[in-house]
Amino acid sequence: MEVISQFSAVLAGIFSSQIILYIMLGAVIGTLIAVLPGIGGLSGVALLLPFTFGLDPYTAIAFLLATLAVTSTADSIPAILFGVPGTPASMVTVLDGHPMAKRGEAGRAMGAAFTSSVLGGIFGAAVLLATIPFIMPVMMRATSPELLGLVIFGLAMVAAVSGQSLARGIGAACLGVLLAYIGQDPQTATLRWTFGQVYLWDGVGILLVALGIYALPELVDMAILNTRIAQTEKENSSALNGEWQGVKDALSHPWLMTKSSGISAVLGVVPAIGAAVIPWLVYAYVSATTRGKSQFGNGDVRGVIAVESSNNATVGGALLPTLTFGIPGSAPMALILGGLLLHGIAPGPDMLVGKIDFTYMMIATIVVANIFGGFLAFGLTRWLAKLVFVRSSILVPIMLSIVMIGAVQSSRSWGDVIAVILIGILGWLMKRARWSRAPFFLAFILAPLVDRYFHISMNIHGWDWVARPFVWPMLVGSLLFVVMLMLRRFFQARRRNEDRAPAQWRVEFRPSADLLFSVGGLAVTFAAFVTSLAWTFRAGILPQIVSGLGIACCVIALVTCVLHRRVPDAATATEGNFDIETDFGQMTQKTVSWRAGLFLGALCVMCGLGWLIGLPVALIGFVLLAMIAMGERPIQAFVICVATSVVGWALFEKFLRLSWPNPLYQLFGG
Amino acid sequence: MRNADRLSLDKMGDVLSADAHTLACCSGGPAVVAFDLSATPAGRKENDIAPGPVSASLRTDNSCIPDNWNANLTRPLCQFQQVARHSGANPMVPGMSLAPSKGVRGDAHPIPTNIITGGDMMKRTLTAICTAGIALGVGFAALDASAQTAEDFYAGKTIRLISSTGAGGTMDLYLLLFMKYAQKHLPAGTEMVLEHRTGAGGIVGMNHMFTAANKDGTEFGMPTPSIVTNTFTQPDATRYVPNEFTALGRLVDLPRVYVARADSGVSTFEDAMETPLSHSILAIGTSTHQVMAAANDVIGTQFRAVPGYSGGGPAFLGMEQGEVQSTTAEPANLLVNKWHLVEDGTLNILGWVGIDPIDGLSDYPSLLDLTPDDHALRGVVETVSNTAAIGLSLIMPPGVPQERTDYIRDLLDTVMRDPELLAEAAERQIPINHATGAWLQERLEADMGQPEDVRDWFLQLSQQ
Repeated sequence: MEVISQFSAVLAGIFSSQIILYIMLGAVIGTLIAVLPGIGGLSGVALLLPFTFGLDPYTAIAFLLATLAVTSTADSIPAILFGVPGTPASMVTVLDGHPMAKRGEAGRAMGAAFTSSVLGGIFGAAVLLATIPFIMPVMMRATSPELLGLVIFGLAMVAAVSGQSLARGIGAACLGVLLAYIGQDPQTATLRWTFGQVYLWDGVGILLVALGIYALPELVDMAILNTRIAQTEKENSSALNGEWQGVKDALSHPWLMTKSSGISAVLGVVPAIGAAVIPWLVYAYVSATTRGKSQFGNGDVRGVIAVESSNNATVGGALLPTLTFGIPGSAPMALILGGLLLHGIAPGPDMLVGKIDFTYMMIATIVVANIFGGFLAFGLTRWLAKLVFVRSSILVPIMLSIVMIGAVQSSRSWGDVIAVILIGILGWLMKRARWSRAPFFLAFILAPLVDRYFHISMNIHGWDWVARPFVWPMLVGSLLFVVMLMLRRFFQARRRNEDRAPAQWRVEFRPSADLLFSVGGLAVTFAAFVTSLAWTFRAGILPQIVSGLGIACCVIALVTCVLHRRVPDAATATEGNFDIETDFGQMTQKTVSWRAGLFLGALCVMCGLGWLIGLPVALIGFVLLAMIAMGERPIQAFVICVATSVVGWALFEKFLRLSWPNPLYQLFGG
Repeated sequence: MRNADRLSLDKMGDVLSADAHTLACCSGGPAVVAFDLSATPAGRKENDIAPGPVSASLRTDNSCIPDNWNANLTRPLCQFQQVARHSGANPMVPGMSLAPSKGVRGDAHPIPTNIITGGDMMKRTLTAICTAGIALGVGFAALDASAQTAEDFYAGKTIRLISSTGAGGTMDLYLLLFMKYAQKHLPAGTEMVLEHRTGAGGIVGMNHMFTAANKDGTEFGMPTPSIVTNTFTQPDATRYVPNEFTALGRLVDLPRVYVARADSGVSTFEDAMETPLSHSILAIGTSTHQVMAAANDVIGTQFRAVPGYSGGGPAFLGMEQGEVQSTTAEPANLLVNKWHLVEDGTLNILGWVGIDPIDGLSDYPSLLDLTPDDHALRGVVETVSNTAAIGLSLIMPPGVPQERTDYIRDLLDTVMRDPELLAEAAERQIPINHATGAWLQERLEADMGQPEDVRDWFLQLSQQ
């Protein structure tokens, strides 16, 4: 009770000072930049850090935290509308939110997203308040083996989001792990698959993977279809009604919200797994445990609610290790830590004792900012929801430019541009071949953690780490989870096939994206296996295991491509693919591939041109040409292009002061 | 005739009188002809550093200047160490540009070709000016106008400060502090922005500064402390030569303190020679590993590396949790945030590595002091200590006009001695340990001068 009275005193203090103004300002800025994919979130807070210098510590931290707290509310706007995640934290929102937008339910999806964001954020903060007394002892016991157990449990969740085919799911996860292994190995300093590029030493940035694997394929498909996102005009006249429906949806699932935000707040405390991982785990858990008819991955509003209440709740959780140990619980928290140090606030156990008021103030800021952020996002929705009715020929080139600008914020080099395009192509192929991208991304984030904690645990404890009190239950739990899931699938499949005629098998070669991808995957994993043999045992053993598993999965996938199981009345799976799909309608495979090649080719040409003359100029040229090529009238395209260039210049060059990779002429001309 | 008033012709001697005459007659065309060769910062002559470049500006009484020329236009006359080449990127006059390129020592003065519009007379005049400039520069090496012209240059410019590590880290802390107070001393309208070029332990940022950054003085930045050792451990990936950067000065050093858990029974370096201790480090071959291995190889401690921690914080936490028995810590963090662990007897401090003594830790031995002068690996300990001493410093890409590097060096000195900055740093418990650019340059030279076996030690360590 004492906690509550102290907390409410702090809350009242916020409202009676200038802090509240800065929280509002932070919420406004956070909301506006989170809408721009890649630029919001991490880069957004980084850009604001210098501006806080003149402020007093309380105000400065409140300002930064408010910006960060609302990011995971507003970043669901591009995720739902375009299938382009605003930050990695909203990647999972895409899975159910974007299909809803395609059905013309963007308003509903956003209503549900914002409501659950706000409530999730507040509930997460409440959980945090309640757990403060236990945090220190728990943190002191969370050593490498315990974290390893937790991360392995997370990896087991990969099975739950791997879609219809477990082989493809695990295969995709293996590819994700191999991508994550690119870079310098901390154990041996071996450079794994860096191909002589210093750029690759630190591996591929998570932002690039998030943008490449989900954003680019979605834009490519939009370009191929060349229509509008929403095929139905259903919601056009009643966007507001849609929002209210969403609010009602969210409010009618209180247990779902409580569950996912509670889990997320607690998991958020664990360093290293932040808002990019936790929503996946929550989603996997919720989709695997929801009984009855569900449409997860296909536009189920419950998916949006679970994920959005989760990603806002992690902010509070991630705050605690930052405050008590100076170890950021997530990437954006590293910036808050920077802010704390900048303002002379030393993180330490005292933050929960002597300086508890400051901690309360930060939690209160999260609560207040979440509420503001919710209202702001609702305000924006009215305007932004109409974007789904804008023609692709206008939307796609502009969105693509924003994504590319967001991508180069990863490290401001040409490597970012090349990486995001390559991953984008991979993502598009995976989408076409129906290899679920969720396990790919989840494994990409978790693999380096497994690597790190495994080696530290082995170095210190040998194999004894397995038997530690918290670790073995996690390992057994992971195993049970996977076994349970497989059994359930097996029985479901049997029930489906029971009343049907026995299946017939036959071999048939049919060129398909799936076949192509299986062959490609096999080639990549095989090459990875062979090249990793050159490394020392310690550097190579995990990559060899993973690529070996990948080879096996690709072979199984290849066999199922060729060996068709002909079931009489084609039993289509009821279980979702955990991936958004594009309905190309009457378009032939050839047309789709041709247009995709054309679009991606143009993108590559644009980037090559950018390398010569500078990215901003090349992007403007690309926007103009792409608009005309996609059927806009030249004059109209020109006007739109000039207008967006002016807005872009003011925003990126003058306000955000982004920097660009140096073009060729500067390297040799200067 | 703003600057030329101060030109004392009588000191030039007979050789120059004709040229000076030409100069005086020069009013026949639009050109930058006013210049000042009279002084340079006094310290430079004593330090035996070549005189700075001379710039020419517009004479206010020249009626031939077109209206659209900027009244503050200046052009480098005699760069001495620079060659001006056309880059197409100078915004001062539309369609005109002169930007110095990477310097070649001994190259002569630039001829600003695209300024000349007045025919032979102008060419002769410019030749005369440059000759006069060289003669004066070499002759007197005592010019004072460079600071002013550099200030003119920076007026209204945007300075990009490169940070070679991620946003929000210690490096940002210092860069932001510097930026805040530098703003006070920069000309009005000059802005500073922070730019992160991260990757490969700072190599990406340093490569960028050496090869790709603007060489006009508007881009400089903070390398990682391992600026030199990176070239030993990663000779193929580093595309910079540490001592060819212009050292601007140091903001703070980053020594490291060896700490061990008290329950390991180790309280001194001597104990650590008897008792093997697990020791948390970041990646193999990085500076935390070097510091640990140097102690092992030189004084015989028995630290066993546990690599893979993702940062200094987690490495320390690992020891705090009891997962490992020892590590090295930043003294600033130890003294401010973790001192209670030393006071309650959980942790013991064994010693430290660095050059400057650390306030509050003066009772403990430094690795350098424990290393005999004739030890075969003395050079390794020197280099490791220097790396700690280099700490967080600022460097300028090579090839920037001397007057501008001097200007920024002076700026850094002024800023780091600003009582307001020192007061704010003290209040926020941010340690400051300023050192000059000349000092820093010496450190870089010293480390680069280490013999081959020292370089090999670092290379071997990173190739386990």
